[in-house]
Amino acid sequence: MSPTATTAPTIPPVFDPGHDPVRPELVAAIDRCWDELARPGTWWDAAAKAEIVVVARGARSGDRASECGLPGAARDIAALLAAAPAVTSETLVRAACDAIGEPHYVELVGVVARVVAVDTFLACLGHEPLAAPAPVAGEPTRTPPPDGIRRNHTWVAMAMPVPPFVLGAVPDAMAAMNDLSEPLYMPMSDMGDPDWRRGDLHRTQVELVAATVSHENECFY
Amino acid sequence: MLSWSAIETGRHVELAGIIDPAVDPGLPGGHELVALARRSCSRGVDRRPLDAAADVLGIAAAIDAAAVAANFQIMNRVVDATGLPIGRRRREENAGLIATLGLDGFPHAAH
Repeated sequence: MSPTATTAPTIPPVFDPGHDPVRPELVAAIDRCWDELARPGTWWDAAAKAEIVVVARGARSGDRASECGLPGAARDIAALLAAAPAVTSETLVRAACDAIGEPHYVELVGVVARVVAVDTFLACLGHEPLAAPAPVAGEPTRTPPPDGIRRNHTWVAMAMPVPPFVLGAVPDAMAAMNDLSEPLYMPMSDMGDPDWRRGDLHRTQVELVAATVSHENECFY
Repeated sequence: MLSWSAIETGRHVELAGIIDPAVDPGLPGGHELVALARRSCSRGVDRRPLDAAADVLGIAAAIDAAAVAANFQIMNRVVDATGLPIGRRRREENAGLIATLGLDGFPHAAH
């Protein structure tokens, strides 16, 4: 569940799929994602998260944000992750972490990844991007990273070296990512089932899409 | 995961179909799913690949395929941003896939 899913909703739903039969749980997950992006996070306030969204979108459309309240290192790495994630390197990531703090970096990764995902889904359905989240006032929680996270031949500390847990240094960011990822892809509990289906789509067809996107993004993993 | 799910369920997938439009991936709607996935990585709004996939698979399946494409925009970014290594065992298990798709030329192949 998203960290905001149990709080009283103060932001109206943003995604209207029109006549398309988008699964209700996916519509709800997109709304929760946008709600979460509008709120203060663990290390970034809501205004900064909204700026990360703008930078990420600008980078993917070929525009570089000239006026931006984010630290330069945050702006640059957000743009790179949005537009060309495979170009990251340990040197670049460590430099960004040194400049803005590793937990800030981990949270930023989650924000960029989610906004690109939502924009991608809507674009495939012929929808323009959602309006950028309207920031809600408040302070970041500054919840320290949990005990037990560590680097395991990875560039940042994480809960476990598998994709659903790579943002584990910021538990709310990890939860927000998985809250969107599972309705988009598949429930974690079904990961081990090679014969899994989502309606008429068989696991092999799901993985064909996954492999093609990963190839287009030059993602070796 | 593609090779694994295909082997485990007795399906044959032509991996080269991911990179070569002339090759049939071998799954129902395979061409259309690959085209939708490719287009999802491009800029701008374009519903045509979704409609093409819907013509073959139905609109609900096409939308779910678009959702999978969106999810891998997350996954690709979080693994490349955190330096998650593939590990020696998985690299060995997927040697055929890596060779067929030319993955050794990708920036993170050495990690």
